[in-house]
Amino acid sequence: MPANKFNGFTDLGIGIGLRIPHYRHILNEKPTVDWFEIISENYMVDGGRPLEVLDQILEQYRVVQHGVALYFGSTDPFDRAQIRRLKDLIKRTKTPFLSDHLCWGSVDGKYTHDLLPMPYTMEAVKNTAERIRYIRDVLEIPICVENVSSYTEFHQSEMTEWEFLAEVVEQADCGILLDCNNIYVSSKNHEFDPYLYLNGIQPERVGQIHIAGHSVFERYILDTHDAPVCDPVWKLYERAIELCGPTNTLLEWDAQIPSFDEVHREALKAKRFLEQAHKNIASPIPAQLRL
Amino acid sequence: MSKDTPQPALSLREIQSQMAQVVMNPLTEHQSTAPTLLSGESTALIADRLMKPNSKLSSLERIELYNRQYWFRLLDCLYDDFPGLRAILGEEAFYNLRIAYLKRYPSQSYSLRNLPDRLILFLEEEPQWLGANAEAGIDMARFEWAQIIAFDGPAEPPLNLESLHGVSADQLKLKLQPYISLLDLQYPFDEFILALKKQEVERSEAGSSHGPKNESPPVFDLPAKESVFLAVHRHENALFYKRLSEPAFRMLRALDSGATVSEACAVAIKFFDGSDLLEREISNSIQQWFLEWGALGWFVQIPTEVTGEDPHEEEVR
Repeated sequence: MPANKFNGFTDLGIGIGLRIPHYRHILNEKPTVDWFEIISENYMVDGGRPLEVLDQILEQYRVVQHGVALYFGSTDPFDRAQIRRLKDLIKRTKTPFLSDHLCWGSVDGKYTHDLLPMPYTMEAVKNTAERIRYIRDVLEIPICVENVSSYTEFHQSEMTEWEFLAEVVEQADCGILLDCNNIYVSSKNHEFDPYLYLNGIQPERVGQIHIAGHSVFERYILDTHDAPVCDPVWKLYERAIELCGPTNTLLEWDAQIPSFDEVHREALKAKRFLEQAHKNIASPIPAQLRL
Repeated sequence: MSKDTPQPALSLREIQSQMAQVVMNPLTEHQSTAPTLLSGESTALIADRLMKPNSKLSSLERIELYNRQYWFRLLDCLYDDFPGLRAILGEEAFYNLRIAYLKRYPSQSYSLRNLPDRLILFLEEEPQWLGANAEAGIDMARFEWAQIIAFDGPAEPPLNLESLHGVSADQLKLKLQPYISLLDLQYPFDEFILALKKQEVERSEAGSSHGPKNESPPVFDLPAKESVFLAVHRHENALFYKRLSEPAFRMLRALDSGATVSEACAVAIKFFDGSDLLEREISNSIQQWFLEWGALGWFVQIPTEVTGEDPHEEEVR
């Protein structure tokens, strides 16, 4: 169910990513927003303006942390200073859960600062699940892992991406941050049916959903977060909500960022799907009428 | 290696290590994946070994997307953090410098904020990337890195100087807030950067912003040489550059290096040599500095050793 142990039993509604161009509007106008998602690494600093803004936001809004640099799929050891800073930030924000990506990004002590795709092997499942469990235990907070967009596939993969995701979260006993846009982008780049993906994961483990826009090129699609959500992604989102129930939903818009109001309006398009899901819970379809 | 030859299974670490070598390999001048690594190994062979092609892209074209993303992202990060260095070098020289830096010092931090943390070291080691402007380039890099530290560096509780009443200046040591950088520059880069920012705002408001990065904003002439002493700091979380006189700068640097207040005062007084100021005026100046620096919250205390000396003998004023 949507409020579950993987998202700290939260039913937050519709949030948007907190981004610098919107700081002034949010602090001055104090718009009504269900919640903000922050990129943890932007606030894992010692002081100054970033933390001042964050503290002002925290006075008014619910904040959930989303990271881009834990690299659960990497084989390098974790950076202890990074984990210490992350723990400090968690204390500051009181985030009900923490999310990061099912990817790798560093090797041999060097960082690519990218969300690189995993080879879908049992060795990678074991390594990734162990690292997720370690972080959950050290930080003492529920973890959700997000499926990434990808542009390549490995010869050595032994399973599909959704089988890999399902196996990792099962072994790690963690949640899923289901990114519908990423499923769509990868389905186009790797020529698979995105609904097979949705049907292949555990809906009871989904703690949050991401929606976003992307850029279509002649031979591939890039996950650019610089546009409104397209219709096929809304349809995937609708199906995801049918499967998972009314789940914490977040719109990402990270490049060519329009006004706060435009971003918020785009996010609120998710409302009708969530309201429908709430109605379904209130008056469930009799079992004999379900297919 | 023939494509028909069975491939030996690679460990997860081997896969990641080999992919990273291609992803972090410098692009060609046409922004494509280079045919070889620096080691001479073929990137196409590595791509074929690791990656599946699909109906639209070869294995190499698929990894090339990541190769481009890596360089574009990291080059953009340095582009944004060093507008002054970019302005005095020009686009092409600055582009080449960034690539050389990232090749020599790839990121070792989870945070892009720390990406330039070895840039000054690199420029001191390989000043040829700055051409004829080596001295100025290193100065500018120090100045712009200091701004990054002042923006989000750590702060400690500021010291209330009044609480030091009665403590001997011979024993008292003060240190500066860790977000403050003291810089002795050979060019007035504080004014230069302010003029640069003003110009960018005007161009932006006039709708003539240069748009995509790596297009060609103008190269700026270096200002005339001039010794400038600066404290790069923040106040109420806004970034400031504060000009200092040389005696004040030397005094702060002495304090930050562990000198007692008495020793730091002596250093400052030496730099007043040759001035027409009377002893009383010098003393007033120093007192004024302390009041101002204290009000800005610049000092944090180092624990003093308690002795039996008369605390009133040499007070901090």
